[in-house]
Order: sequence, then C-alpha cells, then structure tokens
Amino acid sequence: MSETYNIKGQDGIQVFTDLPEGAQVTLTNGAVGTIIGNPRDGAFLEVTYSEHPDSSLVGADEFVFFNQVESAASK
Amino acid sequence: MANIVRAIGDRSIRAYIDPERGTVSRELYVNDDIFAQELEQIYQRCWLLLGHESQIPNPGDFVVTRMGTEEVLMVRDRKDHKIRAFLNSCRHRGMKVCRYDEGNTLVFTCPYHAWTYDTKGKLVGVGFGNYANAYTDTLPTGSEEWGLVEVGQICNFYGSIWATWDPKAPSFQDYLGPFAESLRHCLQSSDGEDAGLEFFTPFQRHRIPTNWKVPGFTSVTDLTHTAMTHRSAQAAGLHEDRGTGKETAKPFPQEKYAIGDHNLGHGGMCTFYDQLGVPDYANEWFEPGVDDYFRAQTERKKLLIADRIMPPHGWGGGHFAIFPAVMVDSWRIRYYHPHETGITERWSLFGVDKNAPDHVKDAVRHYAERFNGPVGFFESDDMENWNYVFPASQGATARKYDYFYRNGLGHGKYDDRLPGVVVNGSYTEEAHRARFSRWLAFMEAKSWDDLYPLNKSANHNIWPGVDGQASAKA
Repeated sequence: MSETYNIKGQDGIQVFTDLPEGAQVTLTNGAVGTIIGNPRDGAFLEVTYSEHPDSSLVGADEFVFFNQVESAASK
Repeated sequence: MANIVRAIGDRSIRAYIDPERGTVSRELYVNDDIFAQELEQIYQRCWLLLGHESQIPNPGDFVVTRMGTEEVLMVRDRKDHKIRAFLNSCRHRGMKVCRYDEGNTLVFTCPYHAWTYDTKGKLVGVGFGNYANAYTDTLPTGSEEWGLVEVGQICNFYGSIWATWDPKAPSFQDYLGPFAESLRHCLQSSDGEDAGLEFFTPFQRHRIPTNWKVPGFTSVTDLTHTAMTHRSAQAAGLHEDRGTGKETAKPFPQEKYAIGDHNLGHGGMCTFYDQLGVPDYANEWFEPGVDDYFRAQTERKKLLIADRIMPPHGWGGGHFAIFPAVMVDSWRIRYYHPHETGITERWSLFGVDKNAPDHVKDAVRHYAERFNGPVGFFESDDMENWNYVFPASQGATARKYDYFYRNGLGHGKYDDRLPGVVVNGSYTEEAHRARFSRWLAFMEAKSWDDLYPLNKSANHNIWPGVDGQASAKA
C-alpha cells in the first residue's frame, strides 16, 4: 500500500525536503516521475519521467522545482 | 582580455624594478593599483593550484578552493566522474552557489533565486521557471550559456589539480618546463610510486596581514632568513628533525643551489644529485615503527630508480616555487591566495603515502601540526616577519626606499642539467630575481602570445650578468 506524502500541509517544506528516492511524484502539468535524486535543498527534485504530456520526455531525467510538484507518494 | 597595463603616476611598471642596482620598489607590495593589475595580468592567466584529487574521491564530492581573490568549486561529476572547476558565483545575481567548504551534492542550488546547477556546471533549474511568461522564452533550462563559469583549462598532474582561466595558456606541462619532473617526484609516495600521496584534510588555512608576494616570492628559497628568524626555535632545541637521535646520513654526492628560471618564474633551493639512485635511509622519527616503514619504502625506491639520477626536488633537496605563489617540497605544498593588497590567505597541504599504515600517517600528521602554521613551533617565526613587513613598508616615507635584491647578482650561470635555469649560490637571491623577471613579463604582456613558452624566443630575464650576458631590455 502506497504512502501519500503531505507536501502541501504545514510541514510540507520539510516533507518535500525529505522525500526519498524511489517515491513517485505527479506534476502540475500531469507528468509523472520517479525521484532519482533529492539534493535536500527544499527546492528541487531530480526525477525520471514515466509519463509526460510531451512524449519525447518520457524516460528523461530532469530537475523539477517544488511548485511544479502536485503530489508525492511511495510506489 | 582587457589590457589594463598602465603607468602609476609618472612611472611605468618596468620603472619599479632597477635591475642594474638590483632593487625592487616597495610599491610593488603596497600599491592598490598594482595589486589590481596583478589580479588581471597574473591571476587571470597563470596556472594555479586548486587542490588534490584525494580531497574529492567520490562522485558528487566538492571542495571550495580559490583562484586569486575568487572562490572556485572543484567538483567530481556524479556521472562521468571527471574533475571540473567553476567560479562560485551564480550567473543570475552573483550569489555564492555554495557556502560550505566541502561536501557531496547532486546540485548547487543558489539560495537567492534557486538557479540550480549540476556537477558539470550546467544550469538545470530556476525557481518558478514554469510560471507563465517567466523565463520561458529567454532562458531555456539547461542553457549552456548560463551555466557556472568554468575554468579555461584544468589539469590533473599526478594527483594535484591545477587550473587557469585562460584557454590560450600553454599546457601545464609546458608551463612547468624543466620543473615538471621535480614536481612529479614530490607527488610520489616514498617508494617512488607516481601520484602516491594523499593529503590530510582539512588543510591548514590562515590569513596573514601582508602582501601575497611577501611569503609567495620570498619565503621559500630564502636560505639566509634562517640565520636569525629561526634562531630562537633552534635555541630552544626545536629543530626541523622528526625525532631524537637522528642518524647522520651516509654521504650521497650532491650540490645545493639557489636556482631560478627567469622565463618561467619557477625556482628555489634545490639539490642536484651527482649519483644514480637514492640515498640510504637514516632513522629520524620519534614514533616506533615509522622508521621501519620508510626504510622499507626507500629500499623499494632504490630498485625503481637505480639507473637514474633523481630530479632536483624537495625535503633534503630543498624546495621550490611554482609561479606565482605555490611552494613545493616532498612532504608539503604551501600556497598563497591574495585577498587584498595587504591580506593574504595561506593554505598548507601535508602529503603522506596513501597506502601507509595508520601509525605512519599519524606520525606524519603530528609532525606537520607541530612544525607548521601559526601554532607550530617553527613557521610562527616566519609569520612574524611577514606580518610586520607590510605595515613597515607602506608608509609615505617607507615606500620611497627600495628593497635590496642584489644578493648574488651577476654570479648566476646556466647549467645543462636544468636547461634555461640560472644556478647560483644557495645563499643568493637568484630565485627571487627570477620571479620578478616573470612578474614583469606578465604585467607587461598583452596576452600569452608575448610570454614564454608560447613565445619561444622570449628572454624575460631582466637582471644583468648571467654567464656574463647582458640582461633583456624593454
């Protein structure tokens, strides 16, 4: 059963900062990716896209800013 | 590169050195305008030491180092594992993208507006970059144009990492010239293995209130200073030796000189060996077991270079300077970063065989700590001199009186064993004069095209009397 991370709540910044590698994020543009790196700066996550509105980006790695992340859950 | 060579008042830069009298104006050490020109003419062009690969062994490791007055990130990339170096300044508003001395990271995130760079220096993210009209058309993410400013060239020389801002500079090997083999030798472990050292971290670092050339041009290769500067330490029985009851080494034919390469600026107190191989090991350590280790290492080294003459090198063979301000011998590297005209940061790196057992590493580290730095028993003497030289030289009266650099002038000779290098008596100021020859060449040159070794016909020696030859004239 997957765990949902509350990245929008009062402790959201800390929860975001601590998101583990392997967790899945859904972005505001509908893209879905797996976290492959978290610099723990509270700002960015490195993700590999499994779904993306631009299909050429599926499989690509990218750093996403916190305001692009709609939700996060463990796989 | 902007050419900012200019006169100070009614004098040209060249007029501050009088080769015939063997003097150097104090203005070179205390004048803010000259200092600003040095940063442009010398520190933007020369190869500068960044550190050692042993500081960043793992992917994503970084250290903050310096090139002149500026902070530089030395980083091992997460993916290709190459070492790169970047100015520690965000391309957006100039904030430091890293405020730690060292660490391991995925990215460097600027704390100001979240411009974020990977370990290749590439811009990989900006804050709020996804908002309508924000950056979208003006800054494609990953734009090479807006990555961190990377050094012009970088070189891993047997584990030591060097860089220059100038992509047109000669290779580091050519920059070293005949001193390449000496530096290589100093970076070997005690059994002669190339790149066989690691360096204790963190480095000793401290600021000293003086001009960078006071220690950088004159502290090494200045054998005469020991006559008085270290007299008190010697009186207290605090010698440079590493233990009591040091054995007297068996004779090994050699000659000690002060040497200077006036075209390259390098030089120092060096020993020329007149016999193949390596001297026998002589016991010298307090700590049990350490002499046993180094004796065994020496025997291995004997086998390795039995048919060769060692290059002039460090400890026991003196120590030498790499222009502009790196001092090398076989167990430590010291270098001097200018901060302001009268503020210099000194870094000392102490090497040890990377494969040595812990008790040997501990002994070497303890020796380094008790000998060097502001709380060491020996080098604190030097710092007292350096600290007072600057304030005693910057007054309106003091700066009218030139420094004396005439010691041994006219007695230098070229020597086939180190082509192009002037060899002089070990208590002369030959190495200092060589640095000023190179200093003036850099200060006057419009680009590397004017400078040796790119300009192979250049003769930067400004001083008279080497081998009876006249000096180079403007």
